[in-house]
Amino acid sequence: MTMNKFDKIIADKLNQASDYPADVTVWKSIENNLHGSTSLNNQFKSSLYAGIAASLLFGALFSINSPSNKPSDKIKDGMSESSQFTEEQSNISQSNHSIDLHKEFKLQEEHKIAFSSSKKQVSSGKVTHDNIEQQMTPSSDEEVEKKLDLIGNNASENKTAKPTDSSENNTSVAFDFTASGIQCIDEVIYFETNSPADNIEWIFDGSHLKQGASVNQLFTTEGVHEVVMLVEQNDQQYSVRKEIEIYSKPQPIIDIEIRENNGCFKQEVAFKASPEHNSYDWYIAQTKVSSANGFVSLESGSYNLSLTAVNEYGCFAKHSQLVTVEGGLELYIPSSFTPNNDGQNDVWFPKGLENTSHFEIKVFRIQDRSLVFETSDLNPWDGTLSKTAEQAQRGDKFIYEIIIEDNCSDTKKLSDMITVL
Amino acid sequence: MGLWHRHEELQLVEGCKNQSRVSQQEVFSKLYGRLFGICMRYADDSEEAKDILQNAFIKVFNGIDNYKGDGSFEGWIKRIVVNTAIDNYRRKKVKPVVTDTDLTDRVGGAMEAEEEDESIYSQIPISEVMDAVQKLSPAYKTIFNLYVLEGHNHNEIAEMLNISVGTSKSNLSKARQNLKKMLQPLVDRLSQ
Repeated sequence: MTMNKFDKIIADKLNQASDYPADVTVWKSIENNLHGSTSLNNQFKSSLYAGIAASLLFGALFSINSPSNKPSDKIKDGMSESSQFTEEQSNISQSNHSIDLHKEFKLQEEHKIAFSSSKKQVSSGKVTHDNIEQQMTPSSDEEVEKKLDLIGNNASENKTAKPTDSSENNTSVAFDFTASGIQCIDEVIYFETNSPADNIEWIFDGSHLKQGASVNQLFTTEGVHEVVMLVEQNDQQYSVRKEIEIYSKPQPIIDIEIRENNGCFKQEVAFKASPEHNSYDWYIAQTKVSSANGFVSLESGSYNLSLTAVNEYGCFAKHSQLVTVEGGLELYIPSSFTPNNDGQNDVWFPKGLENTSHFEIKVFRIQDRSLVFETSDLNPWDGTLSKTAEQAQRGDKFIYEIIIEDNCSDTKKLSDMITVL
Repeated sequence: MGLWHRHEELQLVEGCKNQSRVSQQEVFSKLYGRLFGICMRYADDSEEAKDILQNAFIKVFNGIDNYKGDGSFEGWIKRIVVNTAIDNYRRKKVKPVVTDTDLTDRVGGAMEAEEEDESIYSQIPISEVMDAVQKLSPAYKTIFNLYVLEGHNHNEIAEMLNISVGTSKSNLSKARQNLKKMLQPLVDRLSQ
């Protein structure tokens, strides 16, 4: 294969084109396909079934026309449904959909569905580590208002919202919605309904209006948030109100201490994070070094020490800190010397070896790798070639090999060239 | 080095094999940027690129058991993305598209081979280069990508796309010429 300069430039350019932020709508479509009942084929089926069910329900119980459910539209949407949704969202304006939360919705009396909105009690929540399952305790004295049961196990209970007026038809209307996502600050939560409807709008905390059967919302504050789904069906309006609790991210206190090891290449970097009930993973650069508080031995240099923390709610946070390690065993190994008896640099010997536990030095002639000097003591090399007793000449080149064991029992092998000047 | 260390990668693969949404989302979010860049090269626009990438990710997660851990996880996913893009090209091929000749005419015919300083192309913004590649006909674009970006030879490309080796060579040459034509106004501006 021949690649010319033009090809290479274009390839380099195109390979750099990777700065695209992840599109949540694409993820949502993938997730639906993999996990949900709304995969492309299933989506058709479920919307069809929902349409049929709704038709029967409404037709039989309320004697009204079956809802205008258009499965073919769902099919048409298919893969690009998410993008259309985004477009729809962006086209919504508050003025076009003026909804007063404080005003009771004007529903026809016989179809009226009212929801209590008095209770704001925070439910207790238990989240498993990977946020796949979550157990919630619903508020006790609510009739219709519901807490959201997130992630995978979409709420199977309270699927119907019953009319408040018991004298009305003893019926139920299949309006409900589910949510999935991670119940933490700054995480996207997906809200979805399979309810047949002409129009579906969502109100988050009384202000953020969105439209569509599937929307997402990112909550930036912890605590209980209100989610209201407004459904228009055959000129009737219904609302379903639920609460979702959003949990804070972990904010660990990080304590890093560098402990000096005299006569050792590496220094101890001790790391500690609290509170202890969070789970932590420590990384140097991108390598995980520990899942608990502890220490790591590092040579001199700067390191990016990062910590990932998961709290009791399954919320995740990452913290990074640059750690500079200094000191330790410092060696100076000369790369040249002048064995000419002028009193300056007449011998070759590394500085700093006196602080080590043990060392071995070997010097080889570069041409034939023959050993010309060897010592384990603090005896410098004067340039004499051991086998022949000849003196190294100006311009001669040698290779040294030094094996050092430091005071922490760490061993290091060093090798480089020595030139006689 | 890849996005993940080996042990992290294996944990993620295991998570994906167990249908963990968290693992799947980690893979999706970490790889989206660079994989979307690949899809953009094969697609006509960002919507088509999204469709390709979405289908590719579904194949990845549904076929995760086929990843045996021999090579890098990212490399395995990238191959699936490219294969999905090629499938997409094959599907488009049956639809009427701008023919090679049409496009050549549109951009002013084949450029004469000439000695030129090509280093000026390195000054052109990435977005303009991507835009030009996207404007190539599906055939030129796919062959240019497979040869220049993915490193396949003409024999391999011919087999993949069910075309002759000669067609592959000729289309690559025309793809280069058309790219240069499309980038020429920018080159002229940069040369001033």
